[in-house]
Amino acid sequence: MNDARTLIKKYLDHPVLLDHIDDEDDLVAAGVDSGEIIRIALGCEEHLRRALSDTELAELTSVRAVSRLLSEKDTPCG
Amino acid sequence: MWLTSILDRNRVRFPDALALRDPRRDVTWEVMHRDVSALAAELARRADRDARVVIVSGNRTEYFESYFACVAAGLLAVPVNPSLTPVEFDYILSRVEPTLAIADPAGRALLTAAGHGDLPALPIEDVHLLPDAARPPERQSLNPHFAILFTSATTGRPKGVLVDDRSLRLNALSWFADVPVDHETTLLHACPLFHGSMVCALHYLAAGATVCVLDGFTPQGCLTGLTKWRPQHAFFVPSMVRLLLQARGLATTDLDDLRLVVHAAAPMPPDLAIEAAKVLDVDLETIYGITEGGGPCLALRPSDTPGNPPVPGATCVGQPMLGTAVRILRDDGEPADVGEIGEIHVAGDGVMLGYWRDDAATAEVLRDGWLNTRDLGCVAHDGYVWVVDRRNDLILRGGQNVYPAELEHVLRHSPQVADVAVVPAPSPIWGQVPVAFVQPTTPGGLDEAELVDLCRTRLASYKRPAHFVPVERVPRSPAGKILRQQLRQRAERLSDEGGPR
Repeated sequence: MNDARTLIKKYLDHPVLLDHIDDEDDLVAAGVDSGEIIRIALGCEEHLRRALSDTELAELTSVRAVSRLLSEKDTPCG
Repeated sequence: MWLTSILDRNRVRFPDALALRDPRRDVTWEVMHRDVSALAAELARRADRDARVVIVSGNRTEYFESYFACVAAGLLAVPVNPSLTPVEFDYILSRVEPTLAIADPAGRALLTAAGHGDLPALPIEDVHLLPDAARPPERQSLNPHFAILFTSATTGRPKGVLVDDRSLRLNALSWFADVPVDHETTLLHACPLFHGSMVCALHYLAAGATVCVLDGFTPQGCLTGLTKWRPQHAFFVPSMVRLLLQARGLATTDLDDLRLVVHAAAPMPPDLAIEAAKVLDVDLETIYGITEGGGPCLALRPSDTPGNPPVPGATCVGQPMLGTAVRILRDDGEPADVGEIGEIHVAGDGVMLGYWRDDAATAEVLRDGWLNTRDLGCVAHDGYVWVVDRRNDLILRGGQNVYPAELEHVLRHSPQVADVAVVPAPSPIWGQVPVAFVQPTTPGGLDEAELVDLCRTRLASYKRPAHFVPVERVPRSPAGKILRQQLRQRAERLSDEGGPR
């Protein structure tokens, strides 16, 4: 979970916002801007060194979802 | 009348051709005609003519059908940004006093959260399920109203721009003169459909073209759309282009059909334009528009060859589109000489009728038919128009307008804020972002979390300052006016040091 939080914080204008967001919270509902979400997704692509699928993108809604994605680094994706 | 004539004409000419596409459905002109008729009949049954209908939804094909149905039923569409906070949303609804809403599930939740849960709301996702019905008889008039488009405000509160049929007509005909579009064209429209740029998508529909919309912009979703729908044209704001170029999937996406990227809403940095043209292998067309001007006003076509910028950092926005007149005025109201910088004014049938129920605000920007854009610019010797800067304090964040006054108004509610000034800082991705210089009530650091939380509850997230900078004192003139230029320079230095992103 720490990797996910580190990655997300990197793309937030105000990293302090993440301190008030639980792992399961919806990031947008918690105040993360849609532009920040886009950059988090691009950050995940950078980390995984591959493009995200539409499904992965749609599921990228919480800290836990980001963590799950990052932990599947070696899983091939369509 | 304009939109219904488009619908009737294209239904006969291209009944089985696709009018609209989104990730959920494809809509032929025949189906669109059915849906619009059914929805218009339902709207007319529930609302009197000239009533306002709020549309609050993410992008989808039914959003376009809602615009057409409102016109067909003699009602005024009021599209609203669904990412507004309940407080912001409530203000707009209190201004327009709607009779009905057309909303998706999130929009209906926003209605409830804003205290408007009793407003009848038609589920936009169920438009295709409405029973077949004849379109209500259309009242013929020379110039029916079309929509009220809300913009951010210089005064801290949004204002509604009243757009009429005449504006749409003129703009569409101007578009056809400057953008090569016909019924075989497919457009990927990446911008939100509550935004003033949606009129450009309506112009493609007027030509019988196919318009494809994304639910919301993501670079990856955009690549999927480009692959699936194979558009020849795409409409982006520059930030979208920047993000698209960063997507890893771009390298393996076949963009052979894409020929033209139309961009608007914010200046395109020259380096980004060069990279986009090269990587995407497309022509670029610059559109200069303003919601109060009915949308597009000037165009720089791919074949245009303006000279060097008359002023360092100036952006060429081409020439006035057909039917639009432009003049540059000095501070004393006299016409500026060639090459002389002044305020850009536009006139023509595209210009708004005025702000909704706000004659004073209208009088500030509209005089003798000329709209003051508040942009500073000049006309070069070769006739091309260049934008140099903005006279007012508008911040263009990723193509969305943010006014400092609105942010300052909210931040002053914090007990730790004695004074505050918000200015733009350059951002490599968003073009500009707001930065708040805060004078604390008590010396010492700021509780950033408290300010972020205040903004989260009172401001749509795209308006939130990217940075809060504590200052001993907000610089003001002897008359009490914020010395924004000083702060802008400081914000630029902050950006150079890797501050706002």
